[in-house]
Amino acid sequence: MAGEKIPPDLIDGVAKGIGDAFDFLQLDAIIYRCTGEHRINGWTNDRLPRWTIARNCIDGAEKQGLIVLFLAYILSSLPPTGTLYVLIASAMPTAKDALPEVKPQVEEVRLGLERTRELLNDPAARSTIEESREILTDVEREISLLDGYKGLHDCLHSLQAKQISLLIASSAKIASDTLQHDAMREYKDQVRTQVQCARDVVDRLPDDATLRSVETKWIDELDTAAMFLQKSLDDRNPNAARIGIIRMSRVLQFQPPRLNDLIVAAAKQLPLQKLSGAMGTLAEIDHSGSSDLANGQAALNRLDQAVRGRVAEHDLWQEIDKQIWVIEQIFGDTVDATDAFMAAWPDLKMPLRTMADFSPEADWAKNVKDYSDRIDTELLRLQAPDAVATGSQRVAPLLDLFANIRSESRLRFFVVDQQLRRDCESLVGIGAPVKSILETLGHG
Amino acid sequence: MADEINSRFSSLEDLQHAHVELMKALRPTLGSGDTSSVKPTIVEFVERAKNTGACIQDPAERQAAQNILDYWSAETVSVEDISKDWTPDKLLPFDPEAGGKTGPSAERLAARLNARKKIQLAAAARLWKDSGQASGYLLNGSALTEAEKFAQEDRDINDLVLASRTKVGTERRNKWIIVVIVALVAVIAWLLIDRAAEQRKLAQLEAQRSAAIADRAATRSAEQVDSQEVKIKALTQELKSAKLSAPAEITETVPESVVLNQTRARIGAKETSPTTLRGFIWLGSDAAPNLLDNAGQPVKPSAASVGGSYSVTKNLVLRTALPSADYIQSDSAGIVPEQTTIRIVAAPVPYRRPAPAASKAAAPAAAPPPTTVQYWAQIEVRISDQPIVYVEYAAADAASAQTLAQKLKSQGFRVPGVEASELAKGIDEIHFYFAEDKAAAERLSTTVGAALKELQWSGVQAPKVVDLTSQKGPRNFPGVLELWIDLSSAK
Repeated sequence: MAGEKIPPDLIDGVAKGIGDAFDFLQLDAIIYRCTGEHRINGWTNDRLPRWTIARNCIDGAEKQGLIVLFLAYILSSLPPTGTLYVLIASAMPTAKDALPEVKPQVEEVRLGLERTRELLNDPAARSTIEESREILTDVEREISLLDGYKGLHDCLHSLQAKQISLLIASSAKIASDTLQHDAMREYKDQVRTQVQCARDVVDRLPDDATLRSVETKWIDELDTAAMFLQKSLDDRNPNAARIGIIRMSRVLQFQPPRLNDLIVAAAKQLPLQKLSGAMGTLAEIDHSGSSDLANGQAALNRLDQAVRGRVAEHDLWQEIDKQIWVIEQIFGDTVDATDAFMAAWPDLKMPLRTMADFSPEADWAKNVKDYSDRIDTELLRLQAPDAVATGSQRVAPLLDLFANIRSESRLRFFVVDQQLRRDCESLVGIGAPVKSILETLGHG
Repeated sequence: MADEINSRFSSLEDLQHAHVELMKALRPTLGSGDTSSVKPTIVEFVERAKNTGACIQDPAERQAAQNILDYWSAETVSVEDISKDWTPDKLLPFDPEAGGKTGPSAERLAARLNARKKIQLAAAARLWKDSGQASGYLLNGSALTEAEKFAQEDRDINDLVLASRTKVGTERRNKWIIVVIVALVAVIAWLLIDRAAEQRKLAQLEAQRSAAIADRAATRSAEQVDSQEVKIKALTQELKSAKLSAPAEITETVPESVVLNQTRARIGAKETSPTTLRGFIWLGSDAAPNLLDNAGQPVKPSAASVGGSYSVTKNLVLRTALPSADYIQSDSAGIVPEQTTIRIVAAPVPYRRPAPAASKAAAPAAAPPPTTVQYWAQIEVRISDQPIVYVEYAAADAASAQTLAQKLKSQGFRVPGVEASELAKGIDEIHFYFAEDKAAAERLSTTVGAALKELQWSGVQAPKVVDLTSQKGPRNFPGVLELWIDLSSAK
């Protein structure tokens, strides 16, 4: 893909089309998905006209050999019958199906690794493989980390579906309301299940006491909070239940973003490019006629891009989720949440709309846009002099709209989360042959 | 009292602010299961939050404050507490004596105002989009400046700002275009007026200079020569200065044909052939005729016959008509150089005029002033293929100029006279005013160059040809060249 360029007679049209359809933040998100970095800041700035920003991005992507991937992400956000789609597809036909998926690459990489293991019997090849021992060790470790952190993230994410403010409200009624009491018990059971799940995942992490200890502490904290909840439910003590929910919520609020950061770091450190280079070197000395190594080498490059793209998308959604937590807190901690919400809302609206704009035809994206517009309108209404309702009655429609947009975005995040989980599971398929190679080398 | 105040927040708003800040500060620790290092900070906050209850009266505000207190209190509970009948920390009851702020801080108010503006702008931007981007929604002036502050925080606002900037830019550009056009029109009008004035001035100076030169030529032998020389020099100087200061474009627009037509119109003569001109000249008196016959003998004007050909003895001014009854002369149309052959086409017309000064001196004092009869006649003159060259030179004496003139005459140039002029100092130029004289000017340049070589005047520069067709005045004529040459080093 490196070195490909848009034909000179089409580049202006493509830049203008992209500039019309995508603004700075959207292009930033696209480039972030291509590279895992906010490279747009080195290519252009948000004060320039949109056509110029788009052109600078194209130039930057061309210089760094990313133009095909960049245009592939652009195409994935456009309707295939649109003018811009057709223009880009004619300017860079290879961009049409260039978005790599993790799973198809893993199988080819696995075959390449199998062939590598077979070549360990050849002294010359073994020597070459020996030189790549460090790379293989790093690959095994980072895959293990990626898989482990993703597993821990999943455990918590499944608990996030419930809105904490509603749980706190329920906790106040457990003494008198059996339905609320039972609902709380069910939630407590879910938490305890996930605590156990998390403990299992920690066992899959690399055998590093410090690393495991960090994860074990928050799992213990979650366990303690669940025990608080258990006790409070047994005693029908709303105060204790409240404490349990609050402590639980803190784990759910702060640990997933931290785990996400670790996932991003592990993905960045995953030396797939280096492994690709090593496999290429080995392919040169493999005269058996097998193409497994060459195919594996190419697949590793595509895999690297696919993993970065998926992790970047997950990261973008995690940022959105952080802001949802902030706003949730506002509704609990303020008398009239309007002003505080108004101040915090743009930080949720902008990234959420950016993500929605990438899938303009998707139902969730349409819903997000609709709720976002209605929240703006509601905020405007709340400022009107005749908005006489007070207290919770006053902000009820706003709260309702926020609950809707929160639900849509968390659901979407959940989908992205699941995709990343599946990708990580696929990646583990690479970890096994790598481990096998390392074991053979160790016995050598 | 001060300690008491320091041990609590002064309002719910301050408490909320501190709550958010603390959450940000402890983010890496909260929910990690290991908060021991930050526990003192949390305990202190819980204490202050609890005390804040003393200055919060409103039940709803107290509930919000209690929520914050619960959030942090939960962190101070240890695992051992599970078995106890745990009672959460409660806000202190409201104490009217405790004081406390009733309203939000100025900073918070400003933040609130900003947030409201942002929401309003976002709504306006959406309306603009929903309207199909109608230009009526676009912003300008202070509204646009205000919106620009929020452009990066909201996509709809950003789009509205960009569209508004484009519109404002277009309007500003249009305004500038109008201003520039008006300014240009004003400048052009001024230039036209100025150009017309310059043209008039140049034409006037040209006319005066040419008339003076012609008069000098016509009366070269008369006593007024000295004063005419002074006048010519002054006019030449003035004309040169005027030409130097006049913009070139002023003269460039004067078509050559106009000048020729004007000249011909002034002469009032019908062209008999492309190579002849008709006009009126002074023939002199019978006592001092200006005509010579073919044998070189003087011819009395009264005896000159219609159709007869004569040569003139002086450089004469060709006039467009006969003098008036009181001897006021018509416009000058050119020069008939000395020795030029003319043909008389109409009978000479006599004018009684005062006698020359010499005659006056001889007359008796009491007698009426003596008179003489001067003759004028319409003549036809052939336009010579021998260019006329006026030599304006700078030199200590006239000998070198005369030598050069002879050389030119021998090469087919007519040289009516040479004139010493300080203006020629440092100048070596041949001026021509009509395009058809260019070849003659170049031939003159070559001829002068060859003459200088032949004369071995190495110190004298060969003149370069200067095209003054764009600067010709009404008194420049086809076939007349000017040689300006510094002969100071001619030896």
